[in-house]
Amino acid sequence: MISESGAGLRAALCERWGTLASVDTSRMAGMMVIEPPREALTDVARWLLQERGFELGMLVAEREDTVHPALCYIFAGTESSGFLILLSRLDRESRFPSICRVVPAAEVYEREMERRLGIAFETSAPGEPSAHENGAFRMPIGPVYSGVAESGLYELETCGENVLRAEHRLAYKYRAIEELACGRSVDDALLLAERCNGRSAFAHGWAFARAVEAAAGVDVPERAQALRAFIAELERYRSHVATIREICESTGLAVAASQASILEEESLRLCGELTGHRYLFGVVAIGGLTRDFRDTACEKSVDRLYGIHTRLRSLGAALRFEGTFFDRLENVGMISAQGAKAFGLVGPLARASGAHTDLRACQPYEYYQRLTFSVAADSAGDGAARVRVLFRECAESLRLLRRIVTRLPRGPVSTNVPASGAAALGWVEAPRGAALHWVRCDGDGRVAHYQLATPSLRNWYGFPLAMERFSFQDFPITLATLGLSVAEYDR
Amino acid sequence: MSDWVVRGVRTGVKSTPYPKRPETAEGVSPGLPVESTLEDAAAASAVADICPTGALRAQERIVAVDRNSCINCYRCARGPVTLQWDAGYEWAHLTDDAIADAKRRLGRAFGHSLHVRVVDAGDCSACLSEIAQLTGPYYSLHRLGFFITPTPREADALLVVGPVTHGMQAALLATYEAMPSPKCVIAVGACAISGGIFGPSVASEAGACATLPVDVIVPGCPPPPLAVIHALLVAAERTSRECRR
Repeated sequence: MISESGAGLRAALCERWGTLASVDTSRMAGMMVIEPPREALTDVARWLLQERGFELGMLVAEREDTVHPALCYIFAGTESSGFLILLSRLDRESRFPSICRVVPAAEVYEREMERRLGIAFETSAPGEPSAHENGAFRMPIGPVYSGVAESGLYELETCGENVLRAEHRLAYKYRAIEELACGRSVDDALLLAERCNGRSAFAHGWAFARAVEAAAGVDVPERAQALRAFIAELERYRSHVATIREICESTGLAVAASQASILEEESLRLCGELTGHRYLFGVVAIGGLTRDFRDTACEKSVDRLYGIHTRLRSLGAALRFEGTFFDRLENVGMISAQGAKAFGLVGPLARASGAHTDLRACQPYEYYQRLTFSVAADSAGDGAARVRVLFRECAESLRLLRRIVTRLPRGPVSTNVPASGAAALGWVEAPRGAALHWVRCDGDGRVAHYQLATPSLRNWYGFPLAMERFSFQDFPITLATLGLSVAEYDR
Repeated sequence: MSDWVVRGVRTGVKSTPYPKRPETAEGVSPGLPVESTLEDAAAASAVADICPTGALRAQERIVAVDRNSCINCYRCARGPVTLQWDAGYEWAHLTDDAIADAKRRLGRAFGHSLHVRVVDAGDCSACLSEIAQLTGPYYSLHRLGFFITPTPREADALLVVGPVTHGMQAALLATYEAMPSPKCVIAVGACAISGGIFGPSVASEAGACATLPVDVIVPGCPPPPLAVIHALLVAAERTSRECRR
């Protein structure tokens, strides 16, 4: 990957595509904005991806911006180049070129823009119709199906025991968080952001708060930064343990599932005891945190987490030698490195397929700028690799927690954030991967425009990739190893 | 081959003493605010104003709490003026309709075996995660004769989580219709009770109460596993400790 400064990148772009229109960026805080000619959009995107190591973050339709109603393609670059916005003016008549053929990851955003905002894209050639094998039929599962599971419809194309492929039909749980947030005060919208996924509530709340703070140009106090990272790692640990529990349950390994369930409940209680809420609701605030934590309380939490982790390690060791467990995960639900890259998968799911994508390392924010850690990686791309990554990330989170708690800075935990009319991006590596929140505030401290790209929004692309030619009983196992959230997709 | 049996035995008994004795462990409940008397009327109306869901109502110096609407934002616990909070979990109660009409209640006949179907009608996954804890060793729902069943055909109670999104409304109704009578509906969490922070809106209804005849409601965002156990005990009329609203 080539890393370079923003100025160098702009020069390189100008060299290829002529002088680029200058853009008034004062209303988009802290971002490098470039407006290429519309016909060159696809080429610029290709160049950024293939030559400069950028990845598509999200697409934002900035219609509320009266000065520049535009479509923003947000790309995440390397550590030194940061985020880059490709801007394309919105005017009613024209259609936008679809960049799907170059960036397959863009499809989910383009389709959503078409559906929700009525922005037209030049349709790319329809894909090959799927070849039906003799006697194959579509078997629907859901939206209400077995046990305690999130609602979603899965269509399995099968001719009996073997399943050829599976597709997901979601949106049953669509709650319109982005629409509901508009017009509410930033403090009230934060509550919505937290509830986009209860199991990674803190990460989403943090990303939203970061966007509002960036729009106002405010840095939160040091102690708040450290404590935010502390709570986020606690949440990551808890969320990963929950995913491990789900995987154990899916393989029908009752004792292992019970043991993982014990560890999950203990980490939930640990969160509850430290912050007052088992799922960390109401901890993050715009400008910092809603409350301070005593250093001794944080130390005690880490000590207790050590106790939990000792047992998690022992469980992991026992599972490694359990044939009935790993035999069902190895070479099941394969996602290739190419597939993961093309569809822009994020989080542990992508890291198990050889992608080195972790916002904490690629785009370090707040306290992560001072922390060094190793990004867990595995290249096998199957269910077993995903389990290994989860276990490794738990260990890494615990190491980070210990590091943060030994050097907690003193000082206040919140600061005042004035209302601003700017828009900004807040990014946080949530337990499931990159969470990007784009927030435009108005002058009264209300949300004027809000869009969020959750990790699961991307990672559901992994579902059809992993669900190819498998046997029926592997369906719940593969689904569990993917660790996807329906709530995050159906915001 | 691992020694799973030895491993399991060595772990020992983890089950909560509830409902025989109260659970005393820390961090089992997110708490709910309780009616409090403040220093003056100004403080009372100030704290009522910061509530995002209108769960607080100030009358002179007293702040009344509508627990069903509380979404655990902790503004009235960490703001400049604070209310008292209840760290308990026995929050479930019968709805007015269920109290008025004894015939529609399940009654004690289901006291020893109650099968429950869970339907996610748009929850954020926190409520669902708490329900998933119920079958784990700490809460061990089976010891109480409650069972989570995959099919509505053999379910006696329907646990609804989430604000009932438009997409899930038909599926929720179909699940309810598929259950044999007598049946009981339990709305779990602020969203399922009234739509919570989400509804009613362009995408969702005002909770399960607007769609189904709900018998038991359990407030909280999310209600902890112990509160859900309490709700099941209330539904099966196995407890006299029903929460007063």
